[in-house]
Amino acid sequence: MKYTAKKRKFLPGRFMQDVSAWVLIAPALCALMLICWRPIFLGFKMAFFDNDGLKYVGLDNFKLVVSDVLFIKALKNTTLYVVWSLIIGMGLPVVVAILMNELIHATSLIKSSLYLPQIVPVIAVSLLWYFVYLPDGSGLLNSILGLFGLSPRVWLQDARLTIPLIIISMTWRGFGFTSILYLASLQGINRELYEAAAIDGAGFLRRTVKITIPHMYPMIMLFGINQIKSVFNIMVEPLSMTGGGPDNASLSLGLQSYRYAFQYFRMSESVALSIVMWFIIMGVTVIYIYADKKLEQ
Amino acid sequence: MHIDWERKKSGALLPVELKNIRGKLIYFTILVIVLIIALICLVPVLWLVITSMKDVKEIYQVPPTLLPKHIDLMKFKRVWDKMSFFKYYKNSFILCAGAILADIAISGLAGYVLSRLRPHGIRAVHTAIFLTMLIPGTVSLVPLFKTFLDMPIIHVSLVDTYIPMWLMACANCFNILIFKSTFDSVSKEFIEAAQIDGCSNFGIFLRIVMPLSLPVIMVIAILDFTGVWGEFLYPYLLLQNKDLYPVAVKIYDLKVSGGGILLDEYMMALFFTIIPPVILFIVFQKQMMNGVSFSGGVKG
Repeated sequence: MKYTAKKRKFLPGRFMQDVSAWVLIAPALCALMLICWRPIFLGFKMAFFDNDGLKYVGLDNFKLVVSDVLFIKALKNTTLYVVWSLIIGMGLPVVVAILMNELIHATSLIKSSLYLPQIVPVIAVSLLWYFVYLPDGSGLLNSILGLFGLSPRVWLQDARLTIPLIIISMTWRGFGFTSILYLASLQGINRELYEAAAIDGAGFLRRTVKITIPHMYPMIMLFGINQIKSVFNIMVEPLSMTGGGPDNASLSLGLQSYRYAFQYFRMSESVALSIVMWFIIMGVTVIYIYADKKLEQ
Repeated sequence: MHIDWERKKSGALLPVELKNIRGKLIYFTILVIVLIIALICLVPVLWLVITSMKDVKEIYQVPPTLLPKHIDLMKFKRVWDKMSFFKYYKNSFILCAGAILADIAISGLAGYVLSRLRPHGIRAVHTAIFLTMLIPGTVSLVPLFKTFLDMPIIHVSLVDTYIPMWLMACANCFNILIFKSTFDSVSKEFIEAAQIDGCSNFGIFLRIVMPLSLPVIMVIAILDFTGVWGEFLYPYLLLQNKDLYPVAVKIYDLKVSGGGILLDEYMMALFFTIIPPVILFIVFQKQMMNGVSFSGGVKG
């Protein structure tokens, strides 16, 4: 049952009601103002002032940040993070959800296992996978190599592997949960569609491609853009797993912004960089939505 | 083995097809693949527990041992004491409890006002809260940090307190909207009856709306706990006194500063970090899985 508010006329009795209502929501509004709204305005202001916040410097902070030698490197890496996360992390939950939707055995056990990594805190996941990737014989991957008599090798310290390996650790945490979200929507598909397709002679694969995936399409697009947005801002994972190394091979824009603020103590430049990131991600979102509309036509 | 295929209510494979050998083959292939994927979700955690119970020499042994040679349960206690984990657990629990209480009280009230009282001008607030969810929060890291160093109006520094994290828990747009949609479905008759009895708005919230929404409040409390337990960045930046560190920050600090801790002991510490949310998950699985459906509802 939905409660719908009617348009009310102004009455003195109502006025007191309204005041008491505003009093009850006031703490939340204060918190939102302090935590969510004010910092955005403050950030845009800071970016145009020097690091002490006293002198107006125009676009100097932006120029400084963008002309830094590491900016292009970080931008390239961040793009790589996003691309790898789309390669590794976007299709996997779709496939897992489709497969799980077929099962009637061990479903609750499987669901729990898939959900479990989501419960592990991000920082613990990063450190856990840091151990999985340890370069000497002690890491899980090298232990597995050891079982086959192969000698250990470096993982995170390999500049070509470090980004995909970090993405794998993040995918491990998130894909199961996303699968469960997809699964919930798949269970709403009308069985008759599959029956009709079966009568027309379509096999399992054809039915999946022609019925299941089109049903999931809007959700895939939504999760896709959310994933791009969150991976674009990646910071804690490289900070805790590699510190940005080897030789800045895993340095992301988010981590660069963190370094400006908390290692070099150049707050204004840090904010300027995050504003640059903000505009990039907004641009990507707009293009994405536009492309999505075009594709749908 | 007889399997009742008619139980199968969803999916592209139809019960009829599963009665022939081809269908069964496809079905069991899928089952095996999914079981392997589910196992991959568990293996890193299991490996962590097993490895943490080996001693350092055994960890580096080639070829590696599958299980520790001797299982020494007292090791858990030794490592726990050596790193004084009790202190960090206590910190984490205080941090979580405060955040949960703050979130439920303040977001709950906001949800109640949005859902039931709807004073003049509430529409704008509703829209603002919805839009806030869409804006990426990256820009606010540094300004927020500065805010906590020097709070507006009162000019107090909140460094070395848990108040910033509690305040952030209150400003949770997502939970406000979940509370709103939960309270939307509380039956109107109860509320009208209470109004006739002369109950105030706050009284209705406390005595009627909240108790009737207890299952959802529980899910939010659990999700808050797992979220705040793992919160790393802000506590790390805002707590300078290491004695105040919650577990999630301590575990990172141990990696960075080292301090005479062996690999196996460190892995055990990581296990201590993971275990409370995992236990909570095992106990409240059902509630959390239901939580998935409502989080999907708000997002999608």
